[in-house]
Amino acid sequence: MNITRASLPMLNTTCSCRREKWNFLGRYEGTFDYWIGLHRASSKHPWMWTDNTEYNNMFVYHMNAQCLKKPEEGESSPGTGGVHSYKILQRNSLRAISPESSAKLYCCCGVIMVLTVAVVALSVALPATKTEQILINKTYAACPKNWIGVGNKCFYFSEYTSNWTFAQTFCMAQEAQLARFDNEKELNFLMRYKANFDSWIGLHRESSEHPWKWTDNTEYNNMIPIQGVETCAYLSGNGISSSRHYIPRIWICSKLNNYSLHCPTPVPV
Amino acid sequence: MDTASIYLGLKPPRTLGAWHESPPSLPPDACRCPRSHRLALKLSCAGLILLVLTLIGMSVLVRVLVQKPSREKCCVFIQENLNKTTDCSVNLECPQDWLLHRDKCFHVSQVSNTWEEGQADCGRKGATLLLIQDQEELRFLLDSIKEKYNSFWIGLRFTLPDMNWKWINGTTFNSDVLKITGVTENGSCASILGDKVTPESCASDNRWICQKELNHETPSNDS
Repeated sequence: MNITRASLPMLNTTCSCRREKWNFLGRYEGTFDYWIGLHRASSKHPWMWTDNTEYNNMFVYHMNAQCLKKPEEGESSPGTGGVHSYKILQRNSLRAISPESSAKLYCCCGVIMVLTVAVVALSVALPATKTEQILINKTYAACPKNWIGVGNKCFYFSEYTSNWTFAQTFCMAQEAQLARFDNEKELNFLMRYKANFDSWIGLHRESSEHPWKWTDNTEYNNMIPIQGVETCAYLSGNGISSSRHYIPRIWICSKLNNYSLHCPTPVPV
Repeated sequence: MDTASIYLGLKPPRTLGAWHESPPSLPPDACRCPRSHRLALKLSCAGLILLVLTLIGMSVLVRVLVQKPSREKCCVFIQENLNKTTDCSVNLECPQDWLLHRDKCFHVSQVSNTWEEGQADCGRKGATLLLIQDQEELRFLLDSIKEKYNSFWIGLRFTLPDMNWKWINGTTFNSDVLKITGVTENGSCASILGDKVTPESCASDNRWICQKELNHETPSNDS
């Protein structure tokens, strides 16, 4: 499989996007070692990206702390305490009231200041977070979040295991099907991105004498022969194999992306 | 006269009449201070309540928003599991890349194939498919295997004439030591996934685990 890139991969977006992109690169590398766009002048210099921005040490010991921390949350403006003054008409009143009222006043002022600082800090943090959410919502994505687009399809790779039947039910709940590949490019992507996990796909048959079918009941074109004598197919480390439906496996869903759904154009194979 | 002038200077003319009507006492003077105090207290309490409610609301919002990254943590952990390399205690008695535990060496295959091919591959290494002695050995293997989501062939299969599970060394499977979960059919071979022994079609693809006894120090080519 030949991969051409205009530039070495960059991971220069927000923390969460960086992690997702790392996850993708980490799984998709397959069995090869790859150059990426990090370099430094010497072992004493900091790591830099090829556009001269500094690497944020995402995958060093304090990775989680750094990625989870947002700069806005650290900012806080000091609260302003109110100053109160009282007019005292008689000396007797002043002597009688001052000790208790001053103590109470200090307590009240202290509590109010603490609360004010907390509210101000939260006020500063929330708009930034909300803004991020709004931006994400307004962006028109060909594929849903956590799905990966390849060609005119979106693929979802599960993070836990289940039997074939539940996997198909899960995919249908996402308006998708267990994964279907229509050409070698898609199959190659699936084989690499599944990494070392044997993964359910959408090929099945009624018995070892019946032909293989996709979950939409179209017949499989035998692009790659399926090993084994069972009724549910999965991607193994050895190609495509078949096993019994109740074996727990990682699974892959697929569906057409939004562009293909909304603009039905004939796609040349 | 001095006392009268002091009082007159402190009070506005309106209250002069009141002073004459009632004896000189604190209550009339105290009325004003408590009122302003009460007003201040009310305003302070209202402000405090408002601040507390706002703080609670914003805390809830922040927690809801911050909870999202926890899912990404799981992704990272899965990713980290992928990158982890098994710590192998190098022992001269075991070949390279084999795991030593008690009197056995274990090897986890890096490729997938049928049960027969797994057994043949173990044979070429001077070993056999895994024969599980007890739960402790299984637990050791589970801790050593880095790929938690895959199945691994072991040296246990369903024999047709006897209609029984047998290890490849000829001994009969003892259900007191291990449990087999799943449908037992003809052409079934056993694999382990997590701590479960599962029947699978022998023609399916799985990785496998080889074992060899340290007692039999037969020279073997592992390259």
